[in-house]
Amino acid sequence: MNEKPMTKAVARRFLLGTVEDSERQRIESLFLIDSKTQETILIAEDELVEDYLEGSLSETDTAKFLEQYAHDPRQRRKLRIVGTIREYAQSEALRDHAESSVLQKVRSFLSLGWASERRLNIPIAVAVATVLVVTMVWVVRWNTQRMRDNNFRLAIEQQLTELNAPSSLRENPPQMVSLVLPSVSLRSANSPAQITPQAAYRIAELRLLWPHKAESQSYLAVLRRVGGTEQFRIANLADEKNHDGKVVRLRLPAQSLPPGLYQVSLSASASDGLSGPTEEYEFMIGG
Amino acid sequence: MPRNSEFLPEQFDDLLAWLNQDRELASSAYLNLRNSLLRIFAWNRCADPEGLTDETFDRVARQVPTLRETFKGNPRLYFYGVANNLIKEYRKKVNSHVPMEGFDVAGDPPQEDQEETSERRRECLSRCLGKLSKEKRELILTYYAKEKQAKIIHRAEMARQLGVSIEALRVRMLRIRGNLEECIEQCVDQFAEGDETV
Repeated sequence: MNEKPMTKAVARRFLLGTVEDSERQRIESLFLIDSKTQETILIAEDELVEDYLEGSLSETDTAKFLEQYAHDPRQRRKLRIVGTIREYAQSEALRDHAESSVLQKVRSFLSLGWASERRLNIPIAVAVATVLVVTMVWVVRWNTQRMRDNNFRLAIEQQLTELNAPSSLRENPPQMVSLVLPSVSLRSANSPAQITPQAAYRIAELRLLWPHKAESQSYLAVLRRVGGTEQFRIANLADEKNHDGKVVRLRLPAQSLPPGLYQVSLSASASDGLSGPTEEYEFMIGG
Repeated sequence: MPRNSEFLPEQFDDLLAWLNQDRELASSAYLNLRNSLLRIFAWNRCADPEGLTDETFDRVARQVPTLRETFKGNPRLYFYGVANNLIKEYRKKVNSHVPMEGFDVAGDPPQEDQEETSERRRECLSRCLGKLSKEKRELILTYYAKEKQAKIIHRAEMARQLGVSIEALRVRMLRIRGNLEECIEQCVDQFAEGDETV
């Protein structure tokens, strides 16, 4: 057997399915008998999953990743679980951060006895000033990025509201592609439906099959990208009856959404104002 | 659903003994090999990795009495040879659209997709984190607290504080997360089966 060392770059190519068949066999054999190779591949896979969930993969690699990892229900479940762990950890960190306020830090700094020693005052003042300047620069940059993200989010929200207004839904624009989506509780093992944004299609219309018979006054859809933290709420959707049964139409700005696996959680509201059942749907936006 | 294994208990004992004379080590080697084969079939985009893994063990188990006398080398490589043949057979069958006898080409309806919602996953994560030691729980939550550039600096700092390399930290996290994933999967499945006392 050819004993070329296993690097993370090779492991990554292997995991994205871009190695020759002979190389695949060599790597898989090594994976079974060499613990170091096994470790390298598992670490590369972990990094790949994180990069995907963070949206750091190139468009080409995202497409290859989804081809390799989103076709299998078990792999999709793994992705969802890792995404949930990351979201949970990040929200916990934000909460902790908010709890330990800057004020408390300043208080604890001032409570240190050595701050009152005259010979240390100047270096401490310089250090504090430096920290303040660095913090201010960081806060300004963070705020700018936050505003950019916020603007992007607002733009998407606005598009979603416009596209799903009853008056818009009555029209059938030419630049639209439609997809029928059963809920995940009804879907078979097939891969989630994929939308490949093309110049010709500006809007993707999801026709969400609603399996419940009870009448609902309206529906609320919550759209989120698996692994992402943002979610978009589209309220006051209505159902329609056709040969597939009940269908709720949801229109998306296909070209504005980054590639990835998406989930839609659709909840019904009954006429008495009580909340009804919820269904989840999955689809992919390709690179 | 994975096909049930067809080999007899004594064939399974023979297979374990071929992997390692020590029964305990053999069991652990078997589980490790099984997980590795599952991954290999999944990487090759086979629709039923569990069925194909069972088939690999079935085929090898039938050969063990002969293999013990004739096969020289690491038994895992023999398993891989059989698995690789199955991958080739699978690809051939898929290309010609003929369902393979004995396991599903298209796979069964995925249990994991049924009744699984993000709320349940989150609830299960919370329960499973509660089953980890305080140290492991804090470690994994800290590890995944940041993303992108901040993540790199944050993890380097974590590794420094723990006195280990970043790679060693990653391996440690992979193990903790692997156990956590397994716990969450079981919890979500039990939720789907209506057992709330997970």
